Amino acid sequence: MTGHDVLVVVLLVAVLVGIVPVVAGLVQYLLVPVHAFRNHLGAAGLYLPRVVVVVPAWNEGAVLGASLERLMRLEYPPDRLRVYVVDDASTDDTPDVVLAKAEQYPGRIVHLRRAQGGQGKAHTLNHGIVHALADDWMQALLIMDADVIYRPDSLRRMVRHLADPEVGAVTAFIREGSGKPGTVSRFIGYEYVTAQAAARRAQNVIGAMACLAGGAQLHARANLEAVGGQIDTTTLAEDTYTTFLTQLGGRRVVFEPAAVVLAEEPDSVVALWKQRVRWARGNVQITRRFSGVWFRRPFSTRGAGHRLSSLTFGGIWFSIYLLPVAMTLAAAGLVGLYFVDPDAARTAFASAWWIAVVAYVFITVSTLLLDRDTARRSWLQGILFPGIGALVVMLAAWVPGLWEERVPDLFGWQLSEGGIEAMTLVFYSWTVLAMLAAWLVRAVERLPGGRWPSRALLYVVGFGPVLCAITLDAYAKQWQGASTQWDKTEKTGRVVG
Amino acid sequence: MVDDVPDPCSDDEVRAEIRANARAERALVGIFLVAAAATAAVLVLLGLGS
Repeated sequence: MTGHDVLVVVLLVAVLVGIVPVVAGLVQYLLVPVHAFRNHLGAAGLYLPRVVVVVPAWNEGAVLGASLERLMRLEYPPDRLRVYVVDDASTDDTPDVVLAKAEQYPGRIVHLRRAQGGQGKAHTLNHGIVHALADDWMQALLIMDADVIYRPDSLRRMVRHLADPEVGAVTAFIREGSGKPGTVSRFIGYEYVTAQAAARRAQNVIGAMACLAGGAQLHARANLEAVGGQIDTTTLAEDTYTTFLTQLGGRRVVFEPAAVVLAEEPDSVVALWKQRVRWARGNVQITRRFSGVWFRRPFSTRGAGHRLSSLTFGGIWFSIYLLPVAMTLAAAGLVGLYFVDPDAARTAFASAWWIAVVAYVFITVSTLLLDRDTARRSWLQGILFPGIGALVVMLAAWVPGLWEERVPDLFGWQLSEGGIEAMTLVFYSWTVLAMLAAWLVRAVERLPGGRWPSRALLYVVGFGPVLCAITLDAYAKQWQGASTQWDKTEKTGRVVG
Repeated sequence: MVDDVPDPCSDDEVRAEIRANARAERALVGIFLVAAAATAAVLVLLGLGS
């Protein structure tokens, strides 16, 4: 084998690594139909525990009234439901809103105020959890966000899984619920169907859950006590931390897709970036903190009570965690091959994007059918999730010569050799170029009058690459040791339920 | 006159809801079949175009 051959093999392996997350995403979607037969509903039953709802609130006056009102209208026995609003030393009208509701619903809504706030969500939650655990009344504890609107049947559908003593915690499907969603909110709405309605069903099937959604975490009292009676305050992903601890303790975590709650999500790239950097940094911390968990029992299906160490779960986790690395490797591999062995580059490009087309069509159609309400709002954002640029590249891979010859021919144009070379290199490196362009989307949005150009650019670049870029940014911030201060996402009360 | 509204938290209603949700989950198989068919159709179309 010559040095040239070795180099070609190395570059092909790089391309292959880039395909792994695409295949992992497809595998996850292929597990979704298995949920039709392998779900936890068979073990669910009539169980109506006494539930304490803990609502952390820092300057949530705009959203709290509606969410508390909806909690009071839950189809749940009123004498079995108490709400503790933990006011994290708010400076707006949050105390007035809560006190008015507490007066309206005496004994059912309790206002707890921290004298000094600003330490973050986990500290705020712990203040409420200490109160909830202080007496024996509470049998289950629901953690939610102040802006989340619970549908009347949602809590009832969650608690039924706690009838099974093996279940430690249950989470619901958080749907983006803004009354007049903008482009970014619509993209998030679609993303939530992929990340929750689809991915968490697959995780139910695997028997390992990545994360209890922060706005809908229901814990059995026994589980809460077993994980230490406190929420972790040392990472930015307190919900994921608790999810892992629950499963490592041998208790199951169940996703209930029929329990739907509505949340307000960011409607600007800048706000999205801030929120997701926090999430991604949290995932970096979790990956390190639980480094002893990954792939330890890759093929086990039973025993030790959890499947976090399985190959399937680890594969899915790291496919998302290392997505920016994989995308970069794919592009580097293709560009390298272009200069070393153009024929191999063409074959690798066509093969890689062939798989991408299959995954894209299957995942998009499945997602749009999984949640029709979101599909009606976000069908365009679903179709353009990878970006117009990626769709152009997919066509280039499938129809050789389409953009270099056929389309220019329609207009009587002919591209120069240099033009074709440049276009080929853009196609080969698109996964990296799109990530870099994500920074441009954010920069343009910050300019005066930049909102609409930024949205147009977002459709070209795609929402997926923007999320990839944010993850990359989070790696960098974590690497640089940036502060882990809680950075709250602004909520304005746009949710209509 | 007020109609009798069944208590959604009664034993019968909870069990009926669990059964209904389990039936609804079976629609996932149909979704899979439609998505698989759509994927095959797109592959054929792209194959014809190339």
